[in-house]
Amino acid sequence: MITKDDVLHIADIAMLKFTEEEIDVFTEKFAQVIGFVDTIKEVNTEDVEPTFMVSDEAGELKDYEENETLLREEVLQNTVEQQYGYFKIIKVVE
Amino acid sequence: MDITSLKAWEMKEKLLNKEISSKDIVEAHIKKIEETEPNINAFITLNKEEALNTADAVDKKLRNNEDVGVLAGLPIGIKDNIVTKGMRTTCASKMLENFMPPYDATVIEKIKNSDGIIIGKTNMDEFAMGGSTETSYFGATKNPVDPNRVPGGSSGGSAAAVSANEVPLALGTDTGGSVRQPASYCGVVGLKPTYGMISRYGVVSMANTLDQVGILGRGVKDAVLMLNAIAGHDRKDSTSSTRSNSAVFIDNDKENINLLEGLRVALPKEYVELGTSNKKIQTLFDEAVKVFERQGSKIDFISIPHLKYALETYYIIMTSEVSSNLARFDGIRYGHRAENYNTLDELYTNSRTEGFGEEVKRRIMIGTYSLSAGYAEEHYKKALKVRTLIKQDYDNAFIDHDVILSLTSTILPFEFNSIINDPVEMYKSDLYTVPINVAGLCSISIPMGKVDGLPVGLQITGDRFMEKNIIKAALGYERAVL
Repeated sequence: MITKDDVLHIADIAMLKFTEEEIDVFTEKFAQVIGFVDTIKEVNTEDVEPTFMVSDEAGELKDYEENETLLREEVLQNTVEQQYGYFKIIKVVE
Repeated sequence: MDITSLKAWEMKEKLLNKEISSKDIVEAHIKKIEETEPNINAFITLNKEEALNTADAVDKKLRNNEDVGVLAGLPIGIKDNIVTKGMRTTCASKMLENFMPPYDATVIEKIKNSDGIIIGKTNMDEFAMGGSTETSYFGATKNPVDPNRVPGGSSGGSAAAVSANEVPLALGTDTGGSVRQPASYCGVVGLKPTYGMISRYGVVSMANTLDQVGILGRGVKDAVLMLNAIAGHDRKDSTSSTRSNSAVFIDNDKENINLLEGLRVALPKEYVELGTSNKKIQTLFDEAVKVFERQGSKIDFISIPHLKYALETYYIIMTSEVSSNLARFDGIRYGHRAENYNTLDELYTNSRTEGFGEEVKRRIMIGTYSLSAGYAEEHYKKALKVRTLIKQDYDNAFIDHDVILSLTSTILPFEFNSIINDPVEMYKSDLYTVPINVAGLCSISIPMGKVDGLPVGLQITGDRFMEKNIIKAALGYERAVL
């Protein structure tokens, strides 16, 4: 049984906030996911390897080479606040 | 002559024969867009001035008898989750409302290097999550065939723009059907290539092991034109495949050759049993199969035993990857930042809560739940194992067959705000497109007629990196029925 506290815990991990009503909806939605899980539980997957990626190619190693990177101004152009060429956030260490 | 009603390859031919200029092509499309957009809303951002400048540059090359690229002079729409340098890229979300990418996606570089002309960024479901383009922060796109109905989604803007002759070609992305289903709803061609065929560098990830860039066009030949321009291995995307470099898309394009003769066609009996409750759609499909049969294809019934678990498997994997991929939106480096917060955690949480729409938050929550401590093994890992079985089923099917035929969707484009009350029908409507992404196969949706005046798509699926088979089948069918 999924409780409201469970949902609040997940919202906390996901860094999202919800209204009371929305939280109630999620208790139902999560129950539905468990239904999905119950459905696939019936499949025998003994000795079956998981497929993370459909590709069967091994990743390749790159040689070290110098590449152009983005300019500092380009990296910073989409942030809301910047200072001295850095992203500005609030003080986290006293 | 209305240039906008031509196929892309016809425009290109006329351009190379100097019957029309690239400027003529772009101007005709801008005019069309200005007339059509108020009713359709297929674009989020337009790039008219830059498009005209690029057209001039292409015309100059032609005047100087310089070589031009395969997409020379063609106006192209780009789904707004593919980054374009100096051109706003929003993912149809408040989160990225003002995001200005400092670089081009590899597919954009390739289009530019092929002398294609990017005319604008197309509307979509927010972060590509949805099947109707109704969840866009910038308002829904309407289906040009019937403006009271959805264009499908999530690449609804791209499909609608192509269908309304606003562009001859557009790019979309397909995670569980997001190119093929809107193609079916808008009566155009939608190609989802094999996972790894096209670079995802610069494509905003939704579910990174399922996402693939796809193509929308008004004919199979046009889709192939674009595929040739953008396919290929990319060192910037470790999941792009070296096999994509050697892929051959059409063996023989001579019009007098019967491309369907000897084609080994499979019909999964699971789909036959499932069917659709719309008898008219079923009749169209049965007739399409008969076209293949008459043209000399060999039709076989096969079984994909784990198909019945595909939707659940997809749902668990997709939401898990969504929750992980969308963790990057923290309000610090880019994207919406909340005005009010007292701690760093509050900055993250408030920015995300304000920036994401309802459907996006719902999927992040479900994915976070599936991946949370104590459930990851039971939910996510289990789904990955079933994924292996689904993939093996398809591998077996393609030992003796070239293509699998099915519907693209079991339902017709529906009216806005209509909740489909039949959960079984809603469930079935995704069941034809989703397994293809789970197994990483290639697949194309092509128009196979209309029911009650609304378009219906035929889905042709092939093995990984066997695009040439689905293209052959699609071209052969297109020629047989036209």
